[in-house]
Amino acid sequence: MTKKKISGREMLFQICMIILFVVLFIICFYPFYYIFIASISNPQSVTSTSIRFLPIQPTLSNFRKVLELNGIWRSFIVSLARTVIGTMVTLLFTSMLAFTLTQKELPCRKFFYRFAVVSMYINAGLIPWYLTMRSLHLKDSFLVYILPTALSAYCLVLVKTYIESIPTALEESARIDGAGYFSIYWKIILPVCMPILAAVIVFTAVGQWNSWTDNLLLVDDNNLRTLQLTLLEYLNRANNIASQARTGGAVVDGSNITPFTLRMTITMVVTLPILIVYPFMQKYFIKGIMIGAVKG
Amino acid sequence: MKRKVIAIVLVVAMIMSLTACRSSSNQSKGSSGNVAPTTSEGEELEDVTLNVFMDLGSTLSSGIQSDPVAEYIKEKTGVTLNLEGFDNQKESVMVASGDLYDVTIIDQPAYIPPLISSGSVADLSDWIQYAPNVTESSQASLKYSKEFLSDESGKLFVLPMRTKAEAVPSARDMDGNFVRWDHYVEAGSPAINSIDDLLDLLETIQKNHPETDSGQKTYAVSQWSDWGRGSFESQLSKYLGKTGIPLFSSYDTDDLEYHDLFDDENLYLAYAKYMFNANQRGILDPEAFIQRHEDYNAKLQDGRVLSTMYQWEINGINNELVNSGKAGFVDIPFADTKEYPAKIKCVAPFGYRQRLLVVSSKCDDKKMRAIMRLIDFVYSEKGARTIVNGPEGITWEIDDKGVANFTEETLKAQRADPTYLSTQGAKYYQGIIGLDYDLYDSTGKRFYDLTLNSDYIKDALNDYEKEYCKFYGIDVPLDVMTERKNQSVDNRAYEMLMPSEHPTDISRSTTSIEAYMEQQLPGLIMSKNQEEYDVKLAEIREKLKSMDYDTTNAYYREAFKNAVVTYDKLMK
Repeated sequence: MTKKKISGREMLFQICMIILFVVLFIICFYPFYYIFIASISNPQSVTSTSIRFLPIQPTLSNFRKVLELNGIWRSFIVSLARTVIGTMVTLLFTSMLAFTLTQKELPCRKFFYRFAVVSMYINAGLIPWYLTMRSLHLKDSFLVYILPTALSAYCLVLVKTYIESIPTALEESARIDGAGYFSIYWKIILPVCMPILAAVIVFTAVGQWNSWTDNLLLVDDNNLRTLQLTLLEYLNRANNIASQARTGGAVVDGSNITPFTLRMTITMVVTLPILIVYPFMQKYFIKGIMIGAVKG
Repeated sequence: MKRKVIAIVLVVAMIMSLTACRSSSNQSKGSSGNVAPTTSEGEELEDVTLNVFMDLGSTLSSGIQSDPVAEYIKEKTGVTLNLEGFDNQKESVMVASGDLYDVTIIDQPAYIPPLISSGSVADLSDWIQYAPNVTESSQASLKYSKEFLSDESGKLFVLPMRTKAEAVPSARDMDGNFVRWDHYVEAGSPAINSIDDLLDLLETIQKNHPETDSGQKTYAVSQWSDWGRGSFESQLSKYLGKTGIPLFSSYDTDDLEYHDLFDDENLYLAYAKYMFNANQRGILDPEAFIQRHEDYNAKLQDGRVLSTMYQWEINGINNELVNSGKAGFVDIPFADTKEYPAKIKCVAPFGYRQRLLVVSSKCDDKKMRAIMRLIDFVYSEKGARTIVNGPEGITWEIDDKGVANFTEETLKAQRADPTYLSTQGAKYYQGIIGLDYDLYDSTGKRFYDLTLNSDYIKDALNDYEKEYCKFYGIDVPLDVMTERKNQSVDNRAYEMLMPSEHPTDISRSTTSIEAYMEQQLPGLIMSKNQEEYDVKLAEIREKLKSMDYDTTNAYYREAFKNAVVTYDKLMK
């Protein structure tokens, strides 16, 4: 076996690329690493500028404190519930509509499709949205986390494009065998669409996990409070001393508060579940992006 | 498999329908308008849970409150507080939709007219008789509210909060020239007779301490850029006796003279000149105008910034310094001369713009009665004292002479643990306090916040504070201000009487002029030399003329003049 000889020019190119990607890797990775080492450092010893590459007096006390905060676990369950249920509902409704829109017998299907797509670019704004949700009796209801996102226009584009790439013969043979629309959708199309549905799951789950404005504006019941909003409130409390001066608000002594470590730890707590799930879903995620990029 | 899927779908559907049905159980019917007494003698208080939208400060969480002060409020008024934290976005949605909480603290007067016209806020004109403490302590604010916050109806829809009817020394959250006492002594304890003297002092301090203990470069002067106009005013405003108003104008607090941007007496130009000179001396942080306040604060905590202007900013830092055996920050006063008519006292007869209490018109009579009991409590001396000191009988009591004092147990506990008062709920509910924080009680000599009184402070003085007091020949640090001959009063009423809504062209030009000034002032301050500074200032003024500055400035000059006249009329 002979080794392929690499020219000096190509070697130089390879080295440059390696350096470039290492730099890019550091740029992407270091912020997460910085947050991580700050979150496991002693809050009394660490400041935003004193920490560089290694944690200072490593401790898990920050995580312990954050996880002991009032209402964290209840909020975690709410966030988990909205992520799981919301993702399943989005998956079901979006894929069903995508399949329907691929059926040539459907009158005005192009109109329905474009109508859905337009909603990605044009919306009425915050206050009309709020009024609509209120008139639908979604205020102070868990359903406000689920129903407004039951249909995702972006995911609709992805799934519809994917379904259109499936050979029509598959569908036709099922129809010859006597399958109806729902049977074809449920038994033939959905299993074939698993890769793109996995991508939809990633997109939707991340979106659901990170959402908090619907909670802030429409849900007052503390039992329905999401993790993001609960942690945001704690984060704001650490920062409030400064902002209160501008608003004429209450000011209390802040000697026991270390906003920096609290902020870092909260960021870790919030992103960790998604960071753990991401590597397992990564291949589907990339596939989803590629489909959207090439055929969308 | 099929059955399993159906079963899962049914369970999910059941959960959804159950949660959907639970939303509106606590909706209340509209107030009947018939005003019934809140309680009669010997009658038991009705237990009512009130939803309150307010600034939660840095200690409270949203939800039902159960700390000692909340329990005391419940005992005295029957009100259980269910709090929701203030949020600007949420507030704007609430105003647009009319969906208010039972009690809502609004932070912008411009939001009041739409709330009144949509019928979202309750008319308190008849109900206010059941809150005698409001009429007693804040009469002027009621008059103001009926005239300026009623959408020209003359009714009482809004209760301005944090009222301070009489001018009292600002004992909480003071501004000033705060430097570490040991740094000041090390620099030779120079007298500060001019702004140049202050810069000399700061330059000496930076020379003496060019680096922190960890080897990082220090700067004597720094700033932040994310407070809009507020980022450019505070360093000198106290001692120069100037207050900033819209359009980067200011007025002198002693003679109420208005200064625009074409007048060198303008607060913002005085500030720019001071910062320019600081930069010329190499003591201005080069990141001063690109960093956010939190970055500034972090530098202050690290010791990379050697002076600051807000007392609240250094309270925690001073504790840490003292714990590590060092001296804390103190205010180094300007000379007691006519040039420096320091703003020592403050008066806010109409309360604060950012604290406007409204009640939802959806509240029924039972809730209205509870709300009036709560309002009466937070505007009372006892209520205010409880909110800032903790519950009566637990942290403080009235002695035989009728004077409020901390109990011996509290003093002991506070000495052992400086956070003791906080554990008793002290200062948690300042977001809903009716009277201003640093107000004298009915004795007329003592602050109702007992931590501000000389007897309490004297006992708690650290060594460096004792040296500071000895140096200036005073009993407590606050006296360095109160004993000045040249002092003025910061009257917050003028700000309240300036229009909150403007004609469209004025609004537009105000926004563009203020944005322009925010962009230009850092460049002006960072000028290479005096010549460049003068050229840039001339260019700024020239540009302002093309931005319709003259018309806009004339509008604000007139508005300020009217505010002064109106104030005199209202206070007669």
